[in-house]
Amino acid sequence: MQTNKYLLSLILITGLLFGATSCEDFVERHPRDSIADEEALTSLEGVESALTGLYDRLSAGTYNQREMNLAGELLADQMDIAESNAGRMIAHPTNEEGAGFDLWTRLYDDINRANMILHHVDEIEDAPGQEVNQIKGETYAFRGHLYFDLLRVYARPYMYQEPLVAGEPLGVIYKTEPFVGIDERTFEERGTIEEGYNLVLDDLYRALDYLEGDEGFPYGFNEVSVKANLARVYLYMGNWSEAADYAEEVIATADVELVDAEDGIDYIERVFASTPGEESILEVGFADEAEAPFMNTCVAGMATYYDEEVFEDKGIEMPHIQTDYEAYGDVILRQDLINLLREYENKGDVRGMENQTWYQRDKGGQMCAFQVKYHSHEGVPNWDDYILIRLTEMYFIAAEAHAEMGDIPAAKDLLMTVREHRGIGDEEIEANNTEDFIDLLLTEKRVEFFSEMSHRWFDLRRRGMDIPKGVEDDDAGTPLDFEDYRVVERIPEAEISANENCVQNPGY
Amino acid sequence: MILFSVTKKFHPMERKIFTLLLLIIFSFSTAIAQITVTGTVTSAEDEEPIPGVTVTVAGTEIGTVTDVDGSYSIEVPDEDAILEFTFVGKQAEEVIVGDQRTIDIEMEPDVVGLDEVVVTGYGVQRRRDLTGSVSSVRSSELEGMPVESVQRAIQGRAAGVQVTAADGVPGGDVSVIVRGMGSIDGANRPIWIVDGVEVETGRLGYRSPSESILASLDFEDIESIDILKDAAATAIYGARGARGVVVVETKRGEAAEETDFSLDLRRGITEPLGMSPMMDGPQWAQWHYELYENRYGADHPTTQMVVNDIGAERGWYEVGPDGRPDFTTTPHYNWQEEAFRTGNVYEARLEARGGDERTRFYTSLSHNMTEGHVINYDFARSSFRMNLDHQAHERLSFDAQVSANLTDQSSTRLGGAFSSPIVAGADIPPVEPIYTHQAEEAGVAHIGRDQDGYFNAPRSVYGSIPSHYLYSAKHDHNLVRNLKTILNLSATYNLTENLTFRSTFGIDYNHTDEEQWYDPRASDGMGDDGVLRDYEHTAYAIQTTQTLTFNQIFGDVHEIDGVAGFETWERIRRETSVRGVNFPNPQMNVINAAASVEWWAGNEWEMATMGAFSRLNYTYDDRYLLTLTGRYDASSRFGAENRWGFFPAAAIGWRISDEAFMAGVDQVDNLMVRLSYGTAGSDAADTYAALGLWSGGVSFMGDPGIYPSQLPNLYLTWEESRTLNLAINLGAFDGRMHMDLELFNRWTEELLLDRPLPHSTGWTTMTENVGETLNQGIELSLNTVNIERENFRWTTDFNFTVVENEILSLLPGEEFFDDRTKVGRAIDDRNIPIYAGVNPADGRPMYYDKDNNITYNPVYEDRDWRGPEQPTRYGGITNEFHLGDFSASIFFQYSGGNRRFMNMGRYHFCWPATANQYERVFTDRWQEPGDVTEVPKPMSANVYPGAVRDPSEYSTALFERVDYIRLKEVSFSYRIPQTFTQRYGLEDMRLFLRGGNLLTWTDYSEADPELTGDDFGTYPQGRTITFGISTDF
Repeated sequence: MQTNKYLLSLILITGLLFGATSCEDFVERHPRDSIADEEALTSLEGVESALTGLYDRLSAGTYNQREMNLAGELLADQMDIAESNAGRMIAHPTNEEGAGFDLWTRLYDDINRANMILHHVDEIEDAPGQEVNQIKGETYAFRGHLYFDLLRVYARPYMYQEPLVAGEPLGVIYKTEPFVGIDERTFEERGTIEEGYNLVLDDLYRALDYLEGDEGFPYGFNEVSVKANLARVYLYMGNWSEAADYAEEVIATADVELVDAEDGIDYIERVFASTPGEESILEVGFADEAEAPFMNTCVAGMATYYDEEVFEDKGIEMPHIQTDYEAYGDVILRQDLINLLREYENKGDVRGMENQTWYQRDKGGQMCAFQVKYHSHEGVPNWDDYILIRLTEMYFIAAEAHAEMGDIPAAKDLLMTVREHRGIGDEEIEANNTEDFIDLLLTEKRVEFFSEMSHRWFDLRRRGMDIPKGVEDDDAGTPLDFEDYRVVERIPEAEISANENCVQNPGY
Repeated sequence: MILFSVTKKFHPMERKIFTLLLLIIFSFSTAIAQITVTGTVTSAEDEEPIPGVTVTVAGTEIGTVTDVDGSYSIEVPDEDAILEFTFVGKQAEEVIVGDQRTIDIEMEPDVVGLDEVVVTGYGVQRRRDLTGSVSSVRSSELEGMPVESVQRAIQGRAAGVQVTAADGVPGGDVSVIVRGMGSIDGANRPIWIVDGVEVETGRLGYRSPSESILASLDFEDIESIDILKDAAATAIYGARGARGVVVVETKRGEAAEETDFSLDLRRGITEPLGMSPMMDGPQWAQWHYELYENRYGADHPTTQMVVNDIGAERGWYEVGPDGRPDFTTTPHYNWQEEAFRTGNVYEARLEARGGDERTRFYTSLSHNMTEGHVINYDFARSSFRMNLDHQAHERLSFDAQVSANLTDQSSTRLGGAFSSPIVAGADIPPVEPIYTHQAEEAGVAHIGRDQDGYFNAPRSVYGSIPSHYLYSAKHDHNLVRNLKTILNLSATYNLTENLTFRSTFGIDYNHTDEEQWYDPRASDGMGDDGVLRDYEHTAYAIQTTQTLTFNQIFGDVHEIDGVAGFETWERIRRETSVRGVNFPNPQMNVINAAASVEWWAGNEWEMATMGAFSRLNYTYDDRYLLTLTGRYDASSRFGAENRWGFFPAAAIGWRISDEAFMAGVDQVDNLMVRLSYGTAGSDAADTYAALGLWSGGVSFMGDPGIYPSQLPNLYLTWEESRTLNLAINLGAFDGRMHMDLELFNRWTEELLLDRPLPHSTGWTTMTENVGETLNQGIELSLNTVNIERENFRWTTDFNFTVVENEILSLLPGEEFFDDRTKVGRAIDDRNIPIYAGVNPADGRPMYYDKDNNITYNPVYEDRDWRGPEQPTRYGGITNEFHLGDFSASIFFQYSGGNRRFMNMGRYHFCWPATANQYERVFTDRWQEPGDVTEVPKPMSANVYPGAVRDPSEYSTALFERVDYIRLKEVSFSYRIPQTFTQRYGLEDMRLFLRGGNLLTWTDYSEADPELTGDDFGTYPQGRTITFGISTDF
């Protein structure tokens, strides 16, 4: 009897342990922070959140901050590294091989996401056409924007396509379908530069077909920002008339105006620190402090380091200093840019030294001053929007295009409009031919856009100009020849080794 | 039957296998009449009765233990039954019952454990009957070891088992690798089974430099450790057996008239095994000056600026009238020494065992406190265990093992250079004062002050924020607390005399709590006004195991036994973490006091496996042995298409010594040849590796977004290891010599490899089953009793292992994966520039190119393969001497065949900036034409003529061979005469003195050759001296 009692309870316990689960269910486990591939993009909400996820990529400090705002400035003649540097971007100012933009992997990841969205959005049943169109329009615009960045980094400029060695002028690899598994399409060759620009234009025009109005302006892609992108792309292609047309259309239709230089205006505050910036056409924003990438300002090194003593030595008065600020301070402005800013300031330009925002920080017992062009929104560290395109750029594009087409007065008018709004409208422009005007325009762009979107590097490059290097350090004094292989970025070794069909850029 | 209710959900094929297994079991179970045998067990030495001897019927679960008078009574199925008598420290005895009804036994002392019982998967076997490869370590070898974790305790003691660590952090991680690495990306560590329950072994946390959950186990609770090595032994663990299985059994109670208590007290001190010799102040100042003098010349403005504006200004030296520094005036401040201290170990341990015939228990409580020999490193462990055995009924017994283990580890931040005592201690130029007196009056920059004075702000080392590690050490903390609880309840029911059912339910619960505090006063927390990171991790596994064990003997010569069972295992892991900044006051350092919480995270992961398994042993006349094993297993980690796998193994053994033709060879006790072949798997992929996933946690302008986080792979499946094992076991000279020689090949296929994708696909890698590796090795263990006299005994245990691995294939058509991975090379090899020393003519560093010519600027193609990083040969030799009440043991350990990258060397070997350098960089530096040396001429920024590669960069200059022999342990113990102890009511008292890591023979230039992995700020192991007293009462 007793034996049976024990045996029975044993059988019951064991049976309970087993009975509770079925075998296949027991070994079927799913994560709680993710959903399965097959469920993710089958609804409109799913595709919308995938597009939101894609927009979030624009806000990473390693794309539009470190790479776009800083790398090109260091590679060109705008910035240098501070003497006290923790090893960040130290090889950029001397254009060492391998130092440059690190964007290949990131941009293709984003392109693949865009392709997934485009692939799935048409498969959603019962989706309202207008919402589908909005998603498609934004995604095409996005993809065009990404391919344009890829092309201007990893391929030779459109106007100077001839490769350094014989062969086709190589663009990048063009993917318009998502990656689903390894097949022959996984190992694609690079297409031509022409194909690349056609793809960009194609994407932007398709976006225009789907998009209506300026929804979300200036955050996200809409009719206005796509046209601004078109103006940029045509400028890079040397298609002056289209560039001028689109730039002027944006100037006429965008719901922003140039900030007017009046007595005491806080130019930096209005253009960069307000949310959105008052001149912004395409801006990446953050809902709050938490959404901004951690340490974004300092990782990106937007902060510019300057030693108080150096200020005194050079007889520069310390501009107004704000509170403590968190920044590595690895990057400084080059001396000739500082001189240029000083020169403009003396003329009464709001972009001059005096009007930049300065922060002060104790760097291990040494008080340092930092210049921060984008300073923080509402004074909260790290909470800075990134401005990808702003209205002033359209004036510069239109001015350059008109000058190239021989219409110097129109070009002067446009540049004068900018100057008036910056407080130096009473100064005559002393350039009466295209060449002089372009020289002057490029110099003015250095002042207007320093530490913004690497304009300087891309301007010199697309125009086939040598890159002037620093003035003081004897090791870095020789300009970088436009024909130097390093003007075209190295494709990451990981691509070359995994994809035998992908040819490396010459020289590497 | 119950098991069939489960099989309903199986696929047809699975059901068939299951049914077959059950049929095998039941076909052998038949009821037979009973015979009662009684008797007494005594000791052959003193003829005293021995209580607690295990008496079992061979091949069955029928068993009992002797009572306090040494007597027993047992029912055996028939006259063919063999009674086995086993007891710790005694040679096992076997008697065929025949017509005897009273069997009295005298047990001989165990010589070298030839007849010991080995715990194999889901059962036990006598060592002499093993057909698989198993290395064993017994409790007697673990007792009082001057180490703090079980992994370190088995180092050098088992053939084929390689124990290495990346550092000597108390409570730190120690890796156990069985027969070498087999996997490239996946896991290479064995699973650990403690009292039948698979337990968590690695780490859950992130912030400690080194930590292991296993370190929480009190290894003196362990009765035996058996390491299963070949497929014949591990296939029964199926999907997780490929990297070996460590089977740990804890101590059990013994029936006795009185409860036995034992109290151990230990006190030890540790000193760091050594630190890299660094330059002193004058050496460093001179070297620093030469950097500039050699580059620019003495009178160049830059050199003059360095001398006057930096060196003289900061008090590194006085400048002579010739404008040259006077190094005799250079001070020396030993920053490195300040990082170390004498470590202390305190340990107290109380254990009790006892019980009666029906209920037996073992319980222990221990506490260990270790103050590390590097400042800020401390470790404490509290451990509790209770093991119970209860015979509820003649057929039914229960056993339970309960243990709770708490550890508390304190260290400095993970990988933090400026605040790490080890890194900063070696880095900071020795000309910088540690303390600055009257700093404020003198206007000198300082970091902070306390009773020791003002902490000087040393000149920054890598051009970053100056910091003072001593000051940080006083204010920052980095704590890891682990709780590990293993609960295990089993019921055993003898269904018939031949068939036993056992059901086990086990829980392994682990909790890790991490707290990292950067004080607002010290450099790491200054910028944020204090930073606190809090992490909570839990991982718990629930395991259920049901087994049926059976045995049968036919016609005297056919013996069959085996086990069949079913197991489920699921593991859930949770994690939450938070980072707060901006604290009003350093005393308020919990998250609630943070003005802002900057960052938080939380997630959960689940995984599960289940499987049915069986093992069948057949022995003919004790001469021919056959083992068949198989497991059918599923893991949640794999793709729906490939989730189930079958892992079979077979082994045969031939006991040559029992053959008629060996009858005349008296010297040989046992000679057996074994051969095994089989497969086992490894599921060491990421938890959800097979699923295509989109993840959340991203947002744009406040809207939540998703992103593709993983590619799907429905076909993802096990890594599979096939092992071929050939072994010879020889026992000779009446048990005075025992030798095991094993040769093995292990092929690992279907490697879980992160295949690189072209980044233009949008992905960087994809986990696939590709590639194959081969491990080949020889293991030898030799145990001898060299001298056996009445009052003197000398034994030697020797083991030696050679194991090499090779990558046979990778991706189809690919020879090369990355600079660690190439077909034809070892798994942990390295492709590295080859350093050629210094050009005697001008002091420039030279390298070899691919044609073995000298080059100054080696290109990628000039690299060559130098490795591997895991030792390829290792072993140990222990000599033990017993002389009356005195005993001693000496243990040497050897390891070699590998290299180690001295990552710290990148900052200390000709690093052309401010960090301190190895002393040899000064003493051996090139000075004049004709100097033949490895150390180049000092040169600022390393700008030698001709674009020379920087010597501080990655090359063989910093990748050295690390062969060594180490006197790992010497111990003396003295047993106080019982005439004395019994006067105080004590049964027994022993005193012992042990020394660990006493001497090392090696050519390696850094502090400790034993450690593996990149050497960067590595906590050195300690030289330890421990005194202990052990009392039984």
